[in-house]
Amino acid sequence: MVRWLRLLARNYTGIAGLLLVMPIAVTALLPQLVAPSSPVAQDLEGTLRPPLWSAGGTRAHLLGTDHLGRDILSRVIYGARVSLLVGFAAVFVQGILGSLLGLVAGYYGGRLDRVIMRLADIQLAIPSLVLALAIVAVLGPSLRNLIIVLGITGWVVYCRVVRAQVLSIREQDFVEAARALGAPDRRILAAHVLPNATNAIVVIATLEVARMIIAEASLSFLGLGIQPPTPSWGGMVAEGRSYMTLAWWISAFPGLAIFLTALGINLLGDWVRDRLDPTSQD
Amino acid sequence: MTRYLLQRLLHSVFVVFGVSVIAFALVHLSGDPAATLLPIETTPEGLAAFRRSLGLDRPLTEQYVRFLTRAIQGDLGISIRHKVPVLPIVLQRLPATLQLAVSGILVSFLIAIPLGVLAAARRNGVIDHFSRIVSLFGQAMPTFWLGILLIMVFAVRLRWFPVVGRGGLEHLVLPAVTLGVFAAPVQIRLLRSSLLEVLRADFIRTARAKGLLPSRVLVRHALKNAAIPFVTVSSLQIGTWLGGSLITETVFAYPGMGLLAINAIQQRDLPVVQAYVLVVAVGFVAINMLVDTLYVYLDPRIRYG
Repeated sequence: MVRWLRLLARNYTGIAGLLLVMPIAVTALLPQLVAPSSPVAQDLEGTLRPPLWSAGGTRAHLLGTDHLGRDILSRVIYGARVSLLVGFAAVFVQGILGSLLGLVAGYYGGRLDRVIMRLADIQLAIPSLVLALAIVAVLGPSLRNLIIVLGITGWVVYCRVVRAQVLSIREQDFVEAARALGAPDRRILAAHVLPNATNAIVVIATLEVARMIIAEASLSFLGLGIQPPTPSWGGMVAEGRSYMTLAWWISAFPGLAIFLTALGINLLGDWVRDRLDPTSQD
Repeated sequence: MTRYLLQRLLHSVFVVFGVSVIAFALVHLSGDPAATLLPIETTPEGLAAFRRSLGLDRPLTEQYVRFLTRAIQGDLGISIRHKVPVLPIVLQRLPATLQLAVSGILVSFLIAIPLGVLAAARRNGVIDHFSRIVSLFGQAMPTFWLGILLIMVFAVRLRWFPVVGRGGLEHLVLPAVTLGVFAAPVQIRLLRSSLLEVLRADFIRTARAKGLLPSRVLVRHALKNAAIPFVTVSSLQIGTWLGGSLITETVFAYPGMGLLAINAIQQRDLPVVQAYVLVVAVGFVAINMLVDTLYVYLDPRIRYG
């Protein structure tokens, strides 16, 4: 732990990422402590208030208010929870699904391998956002459906990378030895093959979190993600679209929140990759 | 070569076949396609009549075989909303989408090629760090937000470009920039790393030892050899935009296939969605095949047996 922290301190990328992600993670966990007011409280007397530094801004609403007089800052803060939850949960689902399929395909090879890799080709031929949208449109938008759909559409990268790793590990002496000692396949996979593929999985997963957060925001932006009045960053950007000429801040700040979160996670991801994957130094 | 092409073609047909299963399954995902396709207030008798008229009361395999045979003949069904065949509706939007995809990739080249090449040529130099920041920012930027920001600044405030829609070249600029910024980060990283790899090769040292100008070594010797992964990724990017970038087309109300698909999804016009998914998949697979064939010409070392 101390060694990791020291490495982190020597690496600006990691620090910058952590500095961005930490406050966002805290607000996501404890929004009620940070938010100045309720994210859904309307104030029809005080709609479209500009941020503090613009003419007409008030201290009560640092980032202004939207068309229903709701406090933008509070909504952005409460929106963090949904974004991070969906992002991490979707990555969890796709990571498990993709890694399992990759493990099986690489280890057993043969027909099973061919079937799984063909499935991957088919999945790649359909734009994942379209598939996600269509499934959500049929099943109905809910937090659970959103996580499942995003999880299902993202498995191919893990599958391919894990499979490639397994193919190279499979033929190594220690796996051969385990097999000769009579270890069952399940044990070989869990104790010998998987640990050697975890670095690759962790590297993809960290970078995928940001991608999934943006994907969730995109679905919510299109109206098929998190449903109002629950504040979500994508949904807020969409709401602000109609007020683009009057009140730029309604769309600008939630978008900025998505951008900073994704940036922070990507910076951390780069750092993790440099640590875990020495071949990626270039 | 012919053998390879045939194998590749067979594989492509298989993928499209798989996509057709998924497109078919979409409608049946909710359990009752009639309820999915018709408005909620439809009576049970209405639902039953609808099922009979579309053959939805037949076994699933029979329904799929019928769907597939019709699809092969170019009949992908009737739009529920527009009451006309769906395939022409989708294909009608293709030119607009292609125009946007090509402009978008051109913009991304304008950003990525100079940055990627200079970053590799002067490794750890100022431009290298700058290109890293550009690609980090580009990757974290949600497309819809970038689009809205561009509209707010360049269309609403400065009035340089129209806000939305399709028309002359001026309508293409902002959406193309949005797509270009989205696509550039991957291209920059890839170009840089493949160039760095090539620059370490022996023939580059030979070329330098011969006394060739550094710029000539970079362009004639290194860039040519680093082109393959770059061509692959950028053509895959075009491939995914064949379906129209859903987000970009929505933000700019650009009437391409993507916007059509979004509207169809929102109106639950599933036959249009099905047709869209199939058309996109066929285009994507075709581009992939084309690229694989192109390799043989780009790199004489690649020979498919």
